[in-house]
Amino acid sequence: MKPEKPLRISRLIYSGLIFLSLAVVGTAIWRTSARQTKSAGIPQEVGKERFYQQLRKGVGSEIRFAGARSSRAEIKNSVDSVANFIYQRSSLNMGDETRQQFESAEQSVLSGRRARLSLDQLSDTFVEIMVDRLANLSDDEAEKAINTFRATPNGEVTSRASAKWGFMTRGELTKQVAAARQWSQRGDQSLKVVLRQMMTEEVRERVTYLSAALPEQFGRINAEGVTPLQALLIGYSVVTDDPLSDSQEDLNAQMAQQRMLAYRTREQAGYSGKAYGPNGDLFSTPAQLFFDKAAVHKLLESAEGGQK
Amino acid sequence: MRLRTKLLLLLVLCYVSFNGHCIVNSIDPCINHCCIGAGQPFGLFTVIYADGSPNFVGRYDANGRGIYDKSSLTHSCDFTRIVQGTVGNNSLSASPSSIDLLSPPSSGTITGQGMWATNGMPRVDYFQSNGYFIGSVSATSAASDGTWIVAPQPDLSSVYSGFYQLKVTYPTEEGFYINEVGSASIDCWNRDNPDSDGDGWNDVDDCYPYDASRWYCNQGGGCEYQTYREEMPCYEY
Repeated sequence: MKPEKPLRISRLIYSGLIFLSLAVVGTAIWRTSARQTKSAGIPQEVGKERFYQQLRKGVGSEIRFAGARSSRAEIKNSVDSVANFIYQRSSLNMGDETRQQFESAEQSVLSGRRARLSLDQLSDTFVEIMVDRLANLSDDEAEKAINTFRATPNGEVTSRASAKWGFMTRGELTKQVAAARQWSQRGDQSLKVVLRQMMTEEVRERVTYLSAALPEQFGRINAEGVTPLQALLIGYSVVTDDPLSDSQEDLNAQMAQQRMLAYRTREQAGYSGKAYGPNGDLFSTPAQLFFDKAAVHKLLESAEGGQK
Repeated sequence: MRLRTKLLLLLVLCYVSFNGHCIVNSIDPCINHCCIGAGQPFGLFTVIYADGSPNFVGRYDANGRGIYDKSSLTHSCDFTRIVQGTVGNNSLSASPSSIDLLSPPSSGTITGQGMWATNGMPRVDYFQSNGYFIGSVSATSAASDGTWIVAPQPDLSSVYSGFYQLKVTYPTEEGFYINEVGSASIDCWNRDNPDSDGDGWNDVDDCYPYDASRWYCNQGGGCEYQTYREEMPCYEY
């Protein structure tokens, strides 16, 4: 008897390719979206509305962005809310210096002294961060990154929680990362073109659902661009593949249910106790590689480059 | 085919694959677990190989899709048959319901209904409130009408004060503990989670367990504390 899963659909392509957040470059691509909807057994519209509700409970309730008339204290609170949101979900910690930089950058943009980053600029910045990081990835970092992905029942890994970019073995991924590093070091334009396409897709996807579910917080980003803090949040979401949905309480309940089912003890290695990020209970990615001080500094630089 | 050509071809295929699709970005548990078709929502089940082992125990989700983990990468998700358990959400009562961790009782009684011992003694699984497993014990005696069981206490020597959940299951004819009865809670006390520096953060959550002025890992650099969860160092950006 064959189980319905693991989601293995017809492979459309196999080819070296990307990855973004995570050392992943290269991958097999399957068209899984239709399969996911089918396997979930719920009409897409119903599923979408449910997802929007989960977004409102997550990023919609737990983050407060400041506005044009906000005080410094309110801007500081908004930075703290984003930092806390990310930390609680992924164990990625915003340092004090970074907090101050974001407070300053956010204030500049909200007061109109700096322009918002367009979505194209945001995607370009993410590509630059990836290419730079890949070019400087050590063998040890690459190995750790690859091992951070949790294996599927078939022993393969996937860089996206939805597996929309497909699966590959750790051996295949190792080769792809090595190739990507080589291309990055050479400054290969083809790699950037492919990464740009993937990054644009990732950013556009998030912008689409965030603006639809939370128009007050994200409704204007399609037309006006993003503030530094919004850019950080989208970058975090892309790197960790955290959809930003569900409150921390909901995530805790989901993780508790998984632990109980798996009879997992607290001492068991490979699980951080957080939902996302490195060794995330729900989905694990080597996010720390692409979400570090250097990456955030580059993001802030791009934001500051948006002269009025 | 030259690399550049391959990449451009890939780019086109990417575009064709994704363009026009609104992919709701949510985690599908079937990515990292084995899944099977319809069953009773929230019920436990076990899948069995032809040789009788291993027996993967999983749970149906709200949509009746069964999700389970296999125990070894040397096995696939394939199986020969499924045994489904019964779903029970009974509210049970534990006695004692309050336990002094410095002198825990040797056994306890759980009362309620449906704790059948027909195919073997029911089992009591202990979990922390956040889902981490503590231990299991088998009942030593049970009422013929399923209204109570007596079971020894598991090893609570490494347990801290707090509420814990007890889940009772009883076995199928084949001995699989997938018939759920319900759960009870107990309040354990007299052994607080240590906070060595007294800063209000338990050692397990404190980057600097012996420095009351710091707890967060971005307060002065990396996180000293990595003895308990070595998989969770401090990632600062």
